Amino acid sequence: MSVFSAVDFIRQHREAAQQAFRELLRRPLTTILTLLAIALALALPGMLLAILGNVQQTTKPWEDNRQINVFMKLDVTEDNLAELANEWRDDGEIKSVKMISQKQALEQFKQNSGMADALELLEVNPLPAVLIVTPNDNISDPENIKLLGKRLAANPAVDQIQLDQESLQRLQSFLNFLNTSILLLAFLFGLMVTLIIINSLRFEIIRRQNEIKVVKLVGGSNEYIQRPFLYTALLLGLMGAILAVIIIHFVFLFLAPYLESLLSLYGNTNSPLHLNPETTMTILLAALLLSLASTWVAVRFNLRQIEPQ
Amino acid sequence: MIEFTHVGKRYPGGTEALLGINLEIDQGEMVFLTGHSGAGKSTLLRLISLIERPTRGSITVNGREVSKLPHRSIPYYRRKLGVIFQDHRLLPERSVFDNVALPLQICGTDPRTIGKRVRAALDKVGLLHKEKALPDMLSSGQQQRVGIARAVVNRPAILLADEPTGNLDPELSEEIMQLFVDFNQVGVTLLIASHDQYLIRHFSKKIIELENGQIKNEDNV
Repeated sequence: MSVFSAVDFIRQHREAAQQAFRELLRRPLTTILTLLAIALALALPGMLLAILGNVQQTTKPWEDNRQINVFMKLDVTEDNLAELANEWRDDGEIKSVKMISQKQALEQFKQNSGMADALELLEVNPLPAVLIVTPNDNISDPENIKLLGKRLAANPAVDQIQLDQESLQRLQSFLNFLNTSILLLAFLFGLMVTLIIINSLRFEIIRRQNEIKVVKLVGGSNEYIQRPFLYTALLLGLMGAILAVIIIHFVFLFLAPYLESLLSLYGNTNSPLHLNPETTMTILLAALLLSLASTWVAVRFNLRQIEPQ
Repeated sequence: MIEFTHVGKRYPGGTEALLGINLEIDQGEMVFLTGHSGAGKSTLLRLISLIERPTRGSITVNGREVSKLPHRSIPYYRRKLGVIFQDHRLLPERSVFDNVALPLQICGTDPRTIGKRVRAALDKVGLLHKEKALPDMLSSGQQQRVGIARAVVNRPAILLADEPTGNLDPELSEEIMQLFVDFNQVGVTLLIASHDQYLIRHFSKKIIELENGQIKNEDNV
């Protein structure tokens, strides 16, 4: 066995990479078609991952929200309300209490709903007073917050309570479902990328069968013979990934105006249609790993069997 | 240098290609292997270059039992042999230079040494001016000489040739054989399979004649 110096090692790898690149250029149409197939298979889950990542990021600030909205019975007077608020402020489990009287609630509703004129017709204020309770910092566990809510609800002046956490949990479990579905989809598309690369390596190996036999005859080791194929796979994977990133970018650019006009109706200005660096890195890294896996399979099941006769 | 002891080769169909072959080739010898087609000449050479394994017996090359050499060691063993084929097995997409350079490239030889050794080998076979040509642009005789240059570029101690003059006219054949004699004079051990009796007699070297997978005659000159 020969011992290689680091310089020899690097040169051999550079030569293999150059050979792989030349082979890809030799058949530009095949290469472009393969790259497009890989890019599309990467772009679809990539887009979904990017959107999901961005949605999860914009919903994050809510996660700290442990507020309890306490709706009072309609017969509770403003004095009683203030008294109760002060009582709760002294409670060991409560950090702060924000008071919204019936009048304030009505004012807010008038401003936000645009139904001021209709409300003028009402003789009685239908909106309850609200106390917005923030638990102490040491109470972060959802169960404990629920217990505190129950304790507050036991007060006869309270009509009902609403935990922010509950709506948040609902959103979270929906996002979890979405997350799992997208990851599963990404896995299936990753498999597709692997199959595309394996297929083009197989084609290339069969096409160059005679060359492989001759190289084996003059003493080429398996490592030497498979090296260019490794670089073929890496080049296909990485160029496909870069193409995928470009495709995603343009698709988002095209869709963004439509979504933004939709989002503005909900008062939201954070469009999730942009490719963040994390997702870009994920796509590139995934392509890298998939091409390595493809090489392993293609070489194992196609290249080693070729022996000179 | 090369020693066969009771070597037999039986193909899966039941055909006995070689039967109980015993032979010894010393270092620096030049030996012709002759016989009709199907007599087992090519099989014998393929057993030495480990393209095939014997079903019986042992083969020793350079003091080493090679018939049971592990698969992953075969490339390193082959690098010490030079092999020449009737159909020369050149790579049509690569230049003459790159074809001859192949055995050096696979060993990771540095490009400057490769350049020197490839040109020396091409010079030896008289094709230095053709280094940039593609094999298809050359005549049969020239292609065969490129094949020879590739076989000797690694300076192997043993050269194996399977019908190296099979496709050539008598004049070119003699030229090729003369090249082998030259290599032999600098100490290379040669084993050449050929059915061209006239040509073989011309060089007065040791001749081993095979018939039906057995040695019929061993003719020491």
